[in-house]
Formats: sequence, C-alpha cells, structure tokens
Amino acid sequence: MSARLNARIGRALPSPLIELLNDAATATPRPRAFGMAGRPWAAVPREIWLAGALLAALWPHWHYIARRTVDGSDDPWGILALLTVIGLVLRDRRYLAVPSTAALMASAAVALLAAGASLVLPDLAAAALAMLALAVFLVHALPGRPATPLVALLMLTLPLIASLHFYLGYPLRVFAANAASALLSALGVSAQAAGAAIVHDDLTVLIDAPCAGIGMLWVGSYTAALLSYCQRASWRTTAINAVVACALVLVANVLRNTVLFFPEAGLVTWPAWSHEAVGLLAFSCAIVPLALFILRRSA
Amino acid sequence: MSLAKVLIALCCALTPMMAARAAPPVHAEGDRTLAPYFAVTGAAPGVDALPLKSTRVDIRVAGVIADVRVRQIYRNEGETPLEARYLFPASTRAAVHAMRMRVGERVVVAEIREKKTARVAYETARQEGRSASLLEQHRANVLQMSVANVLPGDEIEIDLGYTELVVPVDGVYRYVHPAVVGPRYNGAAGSESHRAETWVAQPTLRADVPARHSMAIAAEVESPVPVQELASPTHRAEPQGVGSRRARIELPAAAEHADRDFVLEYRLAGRDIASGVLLHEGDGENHFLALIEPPARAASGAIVPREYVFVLDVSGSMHGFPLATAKTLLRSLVSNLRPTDTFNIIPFAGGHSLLAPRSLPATRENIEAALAFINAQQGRGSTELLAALRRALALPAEVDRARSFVIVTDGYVTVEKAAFDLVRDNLGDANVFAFGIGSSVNRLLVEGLARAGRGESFIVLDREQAAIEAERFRSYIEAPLLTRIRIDFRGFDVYDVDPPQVPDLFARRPIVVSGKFRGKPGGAIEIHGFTSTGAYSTSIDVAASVLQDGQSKALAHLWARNRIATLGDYRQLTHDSTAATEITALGLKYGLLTDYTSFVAVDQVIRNAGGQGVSVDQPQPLPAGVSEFAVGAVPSTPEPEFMSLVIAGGGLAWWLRRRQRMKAA
Repeated sequence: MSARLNARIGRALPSPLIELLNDAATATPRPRAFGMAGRPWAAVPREIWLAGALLAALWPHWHYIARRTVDGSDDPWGILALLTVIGLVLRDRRYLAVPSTAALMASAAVALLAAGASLVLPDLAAAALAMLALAVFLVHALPGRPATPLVALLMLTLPLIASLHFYLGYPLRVFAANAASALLSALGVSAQAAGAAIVHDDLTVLIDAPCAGIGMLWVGSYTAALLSYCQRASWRTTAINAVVACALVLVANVLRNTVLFFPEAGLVTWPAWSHEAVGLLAFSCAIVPLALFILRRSA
Repeated sequence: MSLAKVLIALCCALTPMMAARAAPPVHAEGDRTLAPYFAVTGAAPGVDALPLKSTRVDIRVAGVIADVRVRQIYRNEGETPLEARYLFPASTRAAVHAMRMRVGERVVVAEIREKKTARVAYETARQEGRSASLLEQHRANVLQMSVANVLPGDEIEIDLGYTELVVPVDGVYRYVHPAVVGPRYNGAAGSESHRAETWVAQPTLRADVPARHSMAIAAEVESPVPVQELASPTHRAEPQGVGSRRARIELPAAAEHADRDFVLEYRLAGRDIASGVLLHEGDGENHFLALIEPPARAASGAIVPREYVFVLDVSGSMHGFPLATAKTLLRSLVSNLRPTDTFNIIPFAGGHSLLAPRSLPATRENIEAALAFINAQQGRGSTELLAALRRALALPAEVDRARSFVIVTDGYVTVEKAAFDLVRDNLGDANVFAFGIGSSVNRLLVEGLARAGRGESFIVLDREQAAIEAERFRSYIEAPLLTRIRIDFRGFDVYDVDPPQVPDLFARRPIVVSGKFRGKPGGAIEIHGFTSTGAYSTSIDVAASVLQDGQSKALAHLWARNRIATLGDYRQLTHDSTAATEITALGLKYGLLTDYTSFVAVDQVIRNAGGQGVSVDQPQPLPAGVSEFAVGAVPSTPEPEFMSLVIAGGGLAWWLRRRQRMKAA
C-alpha cells in the first residue's frame, strides 16, 4: 500500500505527511499509532494524529487566517464558525473514524494544491483550498454525518468579510438602493436611487458599506449551514437552503433599508435604539421563514 | 511603407495618448475642494503619525490681564524623520507675543517675520535638515504649528506666550482656553462658501476616539480682593484657595481634556466690576487701558413692538446634542415673546426654509406651530450660512417695529469674514444677536456676527444653560445698558484710541478703551450715551483711578491686538490693502502673531542632511458632543451589530427546531 501510494503521488508530498497517510491507510488496530504503544499519547486515536499532522502541514494558511482575524483587517466572525465546527465534531465524536485511503489521498492532494496555490493565488484563495483539504479529511472522519453543511461551515471560518464587502458590497448596495427606492415610490414617497444612495428632495441617504447586508448574509448563510447539518441535509438540499437563505436575506435587507429611510430622511423621529430594532426585526423576517423552510423540508 | 514602420508610427501615436489617459487629472489649486476627513493612523509602517504627545497650559490672571504659557511637546516614536503639523485653536482675544523652541539642550527664541518670509525661512531650514518651527495664523482663533526635522527619538518642546484681557460680564469673570478646532464646512470649489485654504482639510478622529495627546491645565487667579468663587463649568476640578487673594485650579494631564474648551469662571468679593485706568509708560510710547463701569440696568417703561428673525443652523455638525440644546434655547426664546411681537424662523443647512413668508404675530397658535416646526428639524447636511443670512436680511421689514436677528449656530464654517461683511452691509437699523452652541464653538464667527450686527454674543455649553442664556437675551433686548456711546478725553492727551466707535452695551460689562498717551497722565474720561430711561453721562478722573497692576507692561500688546482686531479680524481684506499693511506693521513692531506675520525658530545645527522624511498632520478629536455628520458623514442605514444578528438568528432557529421536535415527539 505504501509503495503504491508513493508510486502514485511520487515524492512531491512532504515525507512525514505521506508516512502518516500511508500508515493511517494500512494500520490496524486503531490505538497502536506509530509503534508508540505503552506511551501516554499512544491512546490518542489515529484520526486525531492524522488531523494534527494535516493541520501542522498547512500551518502557513492557519497563520494567515489567524492574523487576518486578529489584526483588524477583517471582522473576526470566522471564530464563531470555527467554534461551531469544533462543537459539532465534539458532539459527534462517537462517529469519528480513520478516513479511507482515497479520502486521505484526496485530502493530501488538495493540501498540496493549497501549498502550490499560495505561490500563485491570493492568500485567501490558498487558505480556502487548505480549508477544503481539512474539510475533505473531516467529512471522511465523520462518516454518516452531513458533508456539505460541514464544508460550508468550514468555509465560513475564513476571513471573508472584507473580500465580500470589496467584491459583493457595491452590487448589493446598488440593489438595495434601487429596490428600496422602488418600494418607497410605491408607498408614495419621492425617492430616487442614485448609485448606492437614495435621494429624497435635497437629502441623500447613503446605502454605504455597513448597510450592504453582508453581515446579515453571513449570519443567514451560517444559520442555513448549521440547520442543514442538524437536519442532515444532502448536498442538494444544502445548496437549495443556501440559495433560499441568500434570497430571504436580500429581501430583508431591502425592507430594512426602506423602513430606516424614513427616520434617516427626517420624515419621522425615532429613538436611536429603533435602528437596531428595525434591523433585527427585518432579519427575523428572513430567519423565521428560512428555518421553517429547512425544518419542514427535512421533516 | 513597411509594416514595421506602420507599427512603430502607430506606437508613437498611441503611447502619449495612453500616457495621457493614465495620468491623473491636474487640478488648479482653487479647484480642489478642501474638507476635513477621518484620520487613518498606522497606515505607514515606521511613521509616528501622532507626534504631538502633550500640551500643558499655565494661565495666570492678575487683575484683568491673563498671561498664558502653552507648552507643546512633540516626540517622534517612529523610525522616520518627521515634519509635524498641528492645527490648534486660540482665544479670539489672545495677543500671541512669544515663542521658543527647545531641541535637546539648545533653546531657540523665535522671531516674528512677515508671513511669506517666515515660511521661506522655515522651508529652507527643513530642506537643509535643521530642526525648525513655524507658527502661523489662519484665523484670529485658528493657529498652526509646523515642526520640521523631528528625528526618531527626538523630543522637541515649543513654548508659546500670549496675553489677553479678562473682563467681567454680569459680575462673572470668564476666561476661555479653546482646545480643539471643530471641523469646518467648506463648500464645493468655486462656490461662495468655499475657501481654498489647506488647513481646512484636517484629519479628524472618529466620534468615540479620544484625542491622541494629553492636555494639562493649571490656572491661577490673583486679585487685590479675595476670590469669592472659582470653578470650571466644562471640566471637573477642585479649586484651591477660594476666599483668599490667590486661588488656583488644576487639571492633570489627560486626553479627555483636549476635546472641549476649558472655561474658567470666578467672582471677586466686593465690587463686581474693576473700574479704573491701567497705565504703562514705555521708552517710545505710553499706553493706557480704561475700564469704565456701565450704568445699572433700568427697567424700560415703554414696550417697543419687536420683530425677531431666528436663523437656526441645522447642519450635520449640529446633529444630536448641539441641536437638542439649540432647540431648547429656541423654545425658551419663542415661548417668551410678547403678544405684540412678531417672529419668523429660518432653519438652514444645505438649503433653508421659512416658518412663514412674512413674520407672524406671537399668538399662542403661532408659537405652538413654531415649536412643532422647531421640533421637526434634524441636523443633517452642509452649512450654507451666507445664503441663509442673505435670505433673512432680505425679509421685508415692518415699519415702526424694532428688528433683531438671532443666529443660532456652532459656527463651523470657513466664511466668517464674508458673513460679517454681509451682515454689516445689509443690516439697516436692526441688531444681530448670535448664540454659539456646543463645547468648542467657533467663537470668532459668533462674536464677529454680534459685533458686525451691533448686538451681543452668547455661548451655550449645554441644555441647562439654554434657559439662562435665553433669559439674559430677553433682559438685554428689553433694556440695553447704554446706546450711542461717545467717549471724550478732557485734559488727557490721547491718540490711536481703540475702538474708534464704542458699540452699544447690552451686557453688564465695563466699557473698555485703550490707546496711547503723551505727557503726564491726568484729566478725565467722559462717557455719554442713552439708557432705556434717557440720556446718561459719567466721568472718571484718570489720576485718581489708576489701577496698580503688575502686568501693565502687557498693555502695548493688548492695544496692538485690539487695533489689529478692529482693522482686520471682522472684515475681508486684500493683501495689498492699507489695513493689511498696517496690520503687518503692527505685528512686526509689537512682535505679535497676525494674519500677515508669523513666528519662526530655526536651529543652527544640521541634523537631517537633505531634509528627508514625511509630513504628518496631528489628527483633531471631534469636539465633545459633535457627531460624525460634522465631517461630512451622510445619513445611512447600518445593519444591526453582528452579535445581535447571531443571537437573533441562532435563537429563532433553535426555538423553531425545538418546537418542531417537541411536536414530533
């Protein structure tokens, strides 16, 4: 087996990793890892050793993610997704098993790809590949548990928010401004969209970055992924859930911007806390149907 | 022609076109819109973007003259040589007469020079690699310090000295030390509300970020009679020595002291107005300063029908606390109108509107409609003050009705002098009263509007003061202390007296005149005018009224500062006008900072050959209570906080799933 693996992937793999992978693919029984029986760490399950090795091999990517998470260049929301994954793994630890050889090879291949990608791709894309390598491993280490939601949650651990704002923020803002101004016009308020702003008389209400709905989109996606995992959704169902989540959040954000236009334009006077309340109410209008949709589909 | 030649020709033609497309557009200096912006620090590695570390202010008030020392400490904690620039406010009355710079053990005393010459000397020193400092005046209350070649690890101290007159109003002596320059609205390039002045484009910290330098203040009051009360309404500090002839108040160094004006108030035992003459006999010329007690306020028998036009600033900088305070003030003012009065309200920001096309009688219904109109105002948008003033001044006036304009603003504009000229040229027989609202008001605008409008200025620091100031305003309007004031000097050979024309007196403060005299001081100063009950005259004997004051040598500076204010603080001048020439001459002769003269200090040692380094502007904190709308933020609809979203989303999903499982069970 070892010879076969080496023959397949040649010398490109880091040698400790390939040893681990080969050993993991062939060795039985589980507790006897690397001939270290009798030592305290010999009781550690083999899949943990393998996961540790994989994590160690991909450390530059984790370092990048950690740095982006704490240095203020991105919002640290990925920590929530990471804690969720850890919690789910701990909850389902009785399902833990050594991944199959094919899975290990696939994981290793993606890890290699991530290592190579860091030379040519942006750090975030390379980190996404590294996370995919971990996802391949984890999915196969938890056989019988829903794979796609787990992959989605792992992807949400990445420092995505700044990039989402950069690439997706403006289109979302323009969409929100146009949809909200159309809604306002239907309500009889003279409002016109001008780029990512709504103009009312001589006053401009800006749909700026914090209004784009990226936060709601992230939390909506996270909720959809978590519920999908809990409901053991298939990849197809998870994908549908994700699409529904995005659609509902977009609509909720338009509603939120429409309602908040009134106080911001000075048409009504509301207390400061009402902004937060309106936002949460609009978000609830997305989350409740989303949760009902996911729960009823799986029921 | 071969194909190669065609291609080469094509390249030759296209390359300049592509370069032209790629080149950034070149704007004429006057085309650039200059506006405050939010500071981003830490963007350049190795550069200390916050070189001003601390400011210490020592105030000593003896009699009616305050002597102030300000020490600014700049330290470069980065790895790159710096030119540090810091915009800071000054009192509108301050006569800045001294500056010195300490670099290590070397102390350089600054020289006063013409503004352009001083700038050239500074730039030359900067490029040669010498440490240098330059103090320039942009407005009577806005100064800028530039310190060149602050090397890594350097600590450079700059000491400033200024003096100003402190006179009591209604028995209270009030000294103000401004700490922050509020962000000024500057209109689009080419518009009448725009000024092509680079100092306006200042980095500003976000609303929840304190100043990045500490400020310590120590104030001491010395008086021939005991100090009865001493307090600061703006800062929490424990006074010492109250009841004795020397009282003191001290604020330890802290960043939170640097986002609002420091106001010191005190009362003296006995007579609440220091009346008399201060004299100083110098080498070439002698100076005097006379403080003359006004008559007591007499209740007016006749009720004059009045028209009030309230001009209310509802721009972005007034959003929140300032506008709430302004509304409280305006409600007090409007509610107290007499039934015989008429009134109108003009709120303004980018545009302006009117309560009614013509002033309305102050009936109960109209007052209630006005209160609702005031309550509906929100602080948003720009500050087109001139257009609003022009509209107010053009309102049709009613015959036989005394008219007063009441302007309520924080004053964060760059068109102060244009506003003064506009008021002065279009006022007719009316008066202007100006209320400054907030913790760091642009006092030059507020005081200048009142001065140009022959009225009075008021500063409202918070909502509690609004009703008190409204009541003061009402008493001033109903019974001015003294109008049409004329001063005669009998047997006292004076010249260059300032002000040439004493304005009407509303508040209970001494009439102040200063000037020069020849020969022995003597004779009398006579005051003539009209109170609300009729003609009034009084006189003081010069020789018998001489006040003993240890600081009378400051009289030359105070006189020159008053003269400069009369000539140029409150009107637009061209650089080649007679007044500008006179101000320059006064600045150079008396060693004073003016619009046309600057202080420059140059170290003789070349410490950074080539003058390599970067320039950094010390960011300003937002004045306390001022919102980010003042820096051009526009209304927006931000999402809820992330944790709120997570709790709402997670909680709802968990609850629904639990409910479904219970149903299934």
